[in-house]
Amino acid sequence: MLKFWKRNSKGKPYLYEEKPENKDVSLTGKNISTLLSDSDDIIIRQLYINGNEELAITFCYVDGLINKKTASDDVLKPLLQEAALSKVQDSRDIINLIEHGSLYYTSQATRDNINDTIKDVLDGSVALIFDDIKQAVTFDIKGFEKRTIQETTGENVIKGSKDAFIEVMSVNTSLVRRKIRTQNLKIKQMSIGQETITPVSVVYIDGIANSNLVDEVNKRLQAINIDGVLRSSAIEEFIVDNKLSAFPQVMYTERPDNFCSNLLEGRVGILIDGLPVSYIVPGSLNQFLHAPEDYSSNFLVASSITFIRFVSVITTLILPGFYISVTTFHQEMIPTELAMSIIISKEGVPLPTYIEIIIMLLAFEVLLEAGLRMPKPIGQAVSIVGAVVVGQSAVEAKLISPVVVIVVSFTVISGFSMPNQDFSNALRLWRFIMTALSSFTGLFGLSLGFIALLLHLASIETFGVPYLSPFAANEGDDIEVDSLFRMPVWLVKKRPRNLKTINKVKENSNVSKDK
Amino acid sequence: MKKVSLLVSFLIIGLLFNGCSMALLPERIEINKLNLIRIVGIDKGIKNPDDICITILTKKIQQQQSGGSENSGQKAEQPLILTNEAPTLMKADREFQTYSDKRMFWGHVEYLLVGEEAAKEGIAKYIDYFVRDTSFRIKANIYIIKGTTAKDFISQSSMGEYYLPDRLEALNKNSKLLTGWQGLELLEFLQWLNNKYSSAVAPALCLKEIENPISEDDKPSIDVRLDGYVIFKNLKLVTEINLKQERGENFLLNKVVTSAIQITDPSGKMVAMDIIDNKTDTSPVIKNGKLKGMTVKVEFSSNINEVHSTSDIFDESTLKYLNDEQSKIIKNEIEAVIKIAKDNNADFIDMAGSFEMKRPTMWKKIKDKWDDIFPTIPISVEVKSKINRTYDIIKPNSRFWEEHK
Repeated sequence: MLKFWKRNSKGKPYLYEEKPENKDVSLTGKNISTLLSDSDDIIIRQLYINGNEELAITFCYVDGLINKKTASDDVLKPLLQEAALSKVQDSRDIINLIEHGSLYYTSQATRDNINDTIKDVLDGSVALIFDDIKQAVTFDIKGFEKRTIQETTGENVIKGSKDAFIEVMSVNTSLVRRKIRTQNLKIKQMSIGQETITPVSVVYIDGIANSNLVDEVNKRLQAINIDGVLRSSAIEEFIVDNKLSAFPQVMYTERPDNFCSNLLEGRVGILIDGLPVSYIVPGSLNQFLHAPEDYSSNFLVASSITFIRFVSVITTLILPGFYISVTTFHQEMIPTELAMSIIISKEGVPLPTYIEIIIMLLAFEVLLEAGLRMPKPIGQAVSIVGAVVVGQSAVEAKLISPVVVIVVSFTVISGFSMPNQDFSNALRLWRFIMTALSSFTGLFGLSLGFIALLLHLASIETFGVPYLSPFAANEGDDIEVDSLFRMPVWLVKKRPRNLKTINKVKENSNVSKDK
Repeated sequence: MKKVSLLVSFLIIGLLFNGCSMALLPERIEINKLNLIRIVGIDKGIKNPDDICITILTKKIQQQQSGGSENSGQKAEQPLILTNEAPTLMKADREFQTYSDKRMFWGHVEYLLVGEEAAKEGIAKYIDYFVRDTSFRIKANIYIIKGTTAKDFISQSSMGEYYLPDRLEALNKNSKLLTGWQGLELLEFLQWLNNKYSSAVAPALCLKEIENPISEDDKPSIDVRLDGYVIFKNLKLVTEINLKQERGENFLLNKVVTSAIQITDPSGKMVAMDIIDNKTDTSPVIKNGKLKGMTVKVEFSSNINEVHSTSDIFDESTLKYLNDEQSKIIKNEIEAVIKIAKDNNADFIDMAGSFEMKRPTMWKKIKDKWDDIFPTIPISVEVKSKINRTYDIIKPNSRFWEEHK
């Protein structure tokens, strides 16, 4: 059985090979050269400190990752010309002087094992390897090309900051630090991915975030055993609780302000090098129905729009199924005049209603998918062809009734009103399930589908927080705060109770109101 | 995995054990394969008096010939009237299904019209099928057709310029302006019918020829009119009250929404009053533990809506006179209806219901003798009224010219 699936006795595929940990390899220039050979972008040179042949060191860096001018001016130049270094004859003394500022560069680390040295080099540092004492000094002189901070692609607001995360971890952490300046902000970094060794940071505010939550996040991240972290699913799919659910269980955002406001609520954030999105855990259904601009506009307006979103969730899930149910099984439910209009519009259409609905839903899905892949100049033409010509032609050719076009259009548009794309995609999937169930038994099937969905959502817990909170499993707490309606900021004094934060009160209750 | 299998089992059980014994899944019918029946007419059998004659009105949708881009694809809607006769309504209904290219659908029936002869014979057998069958709307309005059969009523009124369901809907909504009811639902009618101590009342319709000067030809058109109420006792139509007596009945049942009272003022000119609110309280008169009679206390207020006189009637004595006159008119109407009820020993004025509500313990003792008590029980009527407003003007509109003559 195992051989059939081409796995070894340990259950792992034969292509998988264990990586050597380089435990017993000493830290010398020759060994570095051997391990990093066959890569033309890795530069390894021998240098003489102050021209002294007896003080030879190995200089190693990756071409393209470092800022060469900084390396030359701040590392090489003082190394070769600094007067203090010319009087020293011992490698240990040289390292001591370097550690105390003889070279004009701040970000410096001393390494005594080959793995850390190689990691630093591949991360964008230059390494000075002292063979005689098996030590190395590395300088973080990253100088690779990176994207400038730009506006978000999908989370734009009218009032609010316009910056967004980029692919570089250090820039992202700096954006967070600029917004939260307390010393309680903790950023703990780890590496994930056997081959990519991607830096991943866990960000939280000490004294607010529940320590059990932080430990759990760290534990799950460290348990990830994967080749590389190049896509968001590499982290997300490993840390969620319910791995078979279509619904997102962690929130993602491109906005530093959104990220920071969630940290202040007591949640834990995850930043990944190479990805311009951040993750916030735990995620609940309520969060996916709130958009960043809700907190920028008037609370009454924001509350109305939030309420509309909740209605849109119901609409996008059940409208096609409801239409099939009432026109196929429960015709007595429709007002008589409306029933007559539907009959007139459907006269001559050969397909049953549920086939019409499924065809239209599938057509919309294909159109959406095509719109994603199309180049922009062609995309506009496709939308006109698909939406106007095909839709209109289908109605005139009596393949689809006009009412079905309206129902499906309204359904799809309601789905697009969701602020979170992952949530919208999950709804799209469940919409088909509801439609199929209604086509079997009408409203009974639709109710069964809705109950099944509710059961599924109620069974999900993310990092110990129920997915449906504050609507369920919350004993009524917090339901009035930021759920169906957005309460004004001056009324919301406590953090969400389901996060079990250490500090439950948002404002400083010791400060008197007169100050 | 366990949760998934539980979920799937739940779904399968729900699909299998949903009460459909005929097939695994319920029958699926497309809406455009249905003929929505709007009106049903029930009569005694025409060919065989023991049978039941059923007439249905629906709409036939025909695709027009495409005569241009504007008209292509449009549908013509014509009333489709079908009649069938069978020993039972169920058989007649099943036979109907073979008369048309579509399935007859009862779920949209809005009006149930019962012919007078059928009502006189006994209405129970004619409405049992509609009450029992799950597809029929129990909230359909019921009318009794006077002067003709329900079949002829439907056929002839459909030849007019109005679509009969729309016409009846307008009658329903606007009948309150003439002190009529806004329709009587079959459910409410059944509750009355099944009340052992009260008699049921149902509104009546008739056909009337009217001169229509707007029409191109001189043929008088036929229109539908309200024609008072009919009274049922022991499930049979026994008597009726006409349009003029309707208001008295409605006051007794506390169903007046608005009404017009026409009074002659002291100068001999007409004054029209608009009743705006009313309250009727019926209660038994008990003295020394014995039932002495029933009292009906009516209070209503009205506004002066039209004055034909040019003299100023808004002085205390004239207003008192108008007040007394309107009270007298309503009292006479109520007493006339009470007389009809007592003469026919048919408590369609809900005295039994009021008695039971006010004195439930005493009612339990006398209810079995109510049939004997009702025709002889003295019922006194007290009417109090008040004139509230005169709308936009107080003085008569010709007062200005009178003053400047």
